[in-house]
Amino acid sequence: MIRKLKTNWLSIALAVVVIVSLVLSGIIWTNPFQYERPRKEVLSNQAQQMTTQSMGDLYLPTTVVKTNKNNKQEMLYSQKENLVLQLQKTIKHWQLGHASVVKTNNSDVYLGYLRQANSITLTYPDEVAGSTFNQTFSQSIDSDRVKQVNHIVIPLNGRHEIYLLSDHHYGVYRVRISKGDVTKLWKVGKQAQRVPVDHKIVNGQAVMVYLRSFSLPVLSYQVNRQKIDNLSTNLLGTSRRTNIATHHYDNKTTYTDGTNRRLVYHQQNGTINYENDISKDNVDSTSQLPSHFYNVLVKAGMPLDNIRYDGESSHGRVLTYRTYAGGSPIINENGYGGAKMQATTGGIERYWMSLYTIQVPLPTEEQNVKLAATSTVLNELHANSHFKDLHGIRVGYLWKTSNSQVVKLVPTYFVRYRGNWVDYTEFIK
Amino acid sequence: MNFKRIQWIFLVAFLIFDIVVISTLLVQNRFTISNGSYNQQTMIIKEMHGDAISCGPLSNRQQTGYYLSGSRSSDNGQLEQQVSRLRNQDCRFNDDELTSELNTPVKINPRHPAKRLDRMVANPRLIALGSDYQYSPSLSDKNVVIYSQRVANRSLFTNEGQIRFRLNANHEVTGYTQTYLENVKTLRPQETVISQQHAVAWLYKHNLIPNNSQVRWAKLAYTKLLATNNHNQAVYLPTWVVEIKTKNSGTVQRIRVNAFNSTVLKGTPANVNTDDKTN
Repeated sequence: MIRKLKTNWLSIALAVVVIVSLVLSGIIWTNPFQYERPRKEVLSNQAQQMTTQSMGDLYLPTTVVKTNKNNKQEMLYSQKENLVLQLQKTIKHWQLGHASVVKTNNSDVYLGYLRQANSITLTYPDEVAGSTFNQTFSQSIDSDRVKQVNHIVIPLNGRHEIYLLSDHHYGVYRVRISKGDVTKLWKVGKQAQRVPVDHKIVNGQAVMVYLRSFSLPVLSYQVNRQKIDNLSTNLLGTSRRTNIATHHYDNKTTYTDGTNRRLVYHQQNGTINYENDISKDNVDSTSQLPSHFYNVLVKAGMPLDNIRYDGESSHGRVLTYRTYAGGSPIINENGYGGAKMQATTGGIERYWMSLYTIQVPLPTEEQNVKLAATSTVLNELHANSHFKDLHGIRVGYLWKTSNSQVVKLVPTYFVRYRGNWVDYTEFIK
Repeated sequence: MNFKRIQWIFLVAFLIFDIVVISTLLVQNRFTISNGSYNQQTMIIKEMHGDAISCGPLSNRQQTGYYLSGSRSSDNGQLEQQVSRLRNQDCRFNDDELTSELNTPVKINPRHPAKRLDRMVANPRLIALGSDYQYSPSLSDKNVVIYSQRVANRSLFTNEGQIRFRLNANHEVTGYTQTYLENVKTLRPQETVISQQHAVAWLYKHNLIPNNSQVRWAKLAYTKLLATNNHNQAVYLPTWVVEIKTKNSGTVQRIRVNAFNSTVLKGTPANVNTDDKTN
């Protein structure tokens, strides 16, 4: 046997290396991404150098509510302190342990936990995945158990636990704080302004309502207009292929680079539509989309410091991002200052963006705007024939162009009509 | 050619192929693991030493800052209102600036000017609004000692909030000029800014630090981003101000890096027209 091996060792060694090479070729063949990925990763990291915002900062909660010992809730709001940032920094230093289900499918119990006495609640504009929560707060809770999070409720009475609430099926999850000091949160928002609020379940979602009229400042920002050439190169250009063909037609310019990618620029309102057929096999899974879209926004050159995730639709295949000012979203029919991104399971990616973003706040002498209580607004809307088509109500800022350099942001209520957020005054004319 | 030789050739060829493919796969994996931005920065700092760029230890601490607005104190402003309280000096307020000649020069220690001047600045009969200013050693030299106004717990590195003490050859303060930024307001809640290390690494990566030079200091201070026509208010933001000295020629330059989004701020701040054209 050994002699046989000795005489034929050359053939055996040859057979071994051939088999190894076949296996390696197989690896590269079946998974070409291993070759593509690292290059992509390096690129996005270079872009990240430009921004201080990590992916977790894009998917931050946006509202902070404090509940007192009599279950009365107040939204905290500050022009100076960044309450969400303070809370994020504190929670990042905690070590969260085991997560367990407390209750599901009971809206009364759910509201009870949301209105828990003596607590601070952080609320996302829309649900995020448990894994995204982990990323934002540097935690590693079981994201298979806690699939979605809408609210983070932190009891302030020294119990070493927090509650993660998911509007979907009214899921309440208890998470142990194995290391961390809740008492540090007592002083959060001491100097902040307070607006009385409450939570109600409307169409299966916990909605925050304002109990009394309150006032918010009008804000002013400098408008950045990104050059379409930069944006199209950022989205279409790669290190290897830079030949971008343009085609003008009727106030529209189409940019193509000879692949499946296409970008249409609408000159009139400064918006773009981007479409890329990346085929069914290459499209990211729903859980990968939040980080994939973050990388796209960085690559597109969006200033991310005021931009937040604002909502999802189509079972997490469409994500919306908006600029936030003073804790509220900026809403505009052309999507200025934000982006909407879609990746269909069929393998088509679509982005809706605009050239206009805001970054630098400007001093303004405008008077504060007084907003009515949510119930008053709903009563006013009741008379409208479209009332039954209105879903959801929220406070945000309306984008009002002052001149080519400056935008004025005016606070108002928005209602959801046919999938879009519309200024409520449109319905009470 | 016999069969054995052919076998040999094939063995060698396949062996080379295998080694090349395996090594590229391994190298790529190693790269993905090690390119976190923190590691990249420390690597860049090491590279800088290779290019004969020296700098002191750089901090990686995360700090925060605001967008602020304010206007230069002008006629009948806070600064001019204080002038009548000043004693032992000849002063006048002109072009939004207070210029003063001291009746008796004040002798200072050129190495530690703050020892004597801190007492003077704290005295409201000698310096107006002095408690709002702090000694800035990095901006001062042997002819001028500079005190910078403090806004939002940081120094203001612009000529809109400074006291400049003039020194004569005998290390005596003979007079000073003073400006003041008033009506300082926060425009946006606190945000994190890039670290000192990030700022210097970024400058090096963009070829803004010449070879064979010294990074003398990098300070986080407020500087002017833009001016507006809204009551002459300007917008200020946290900036990494980096001073670089070229070793051969001895030229000194200061570069400002926007600490919110790491871009270099060049030239004079832009003017923004805030008039509402829609009304």
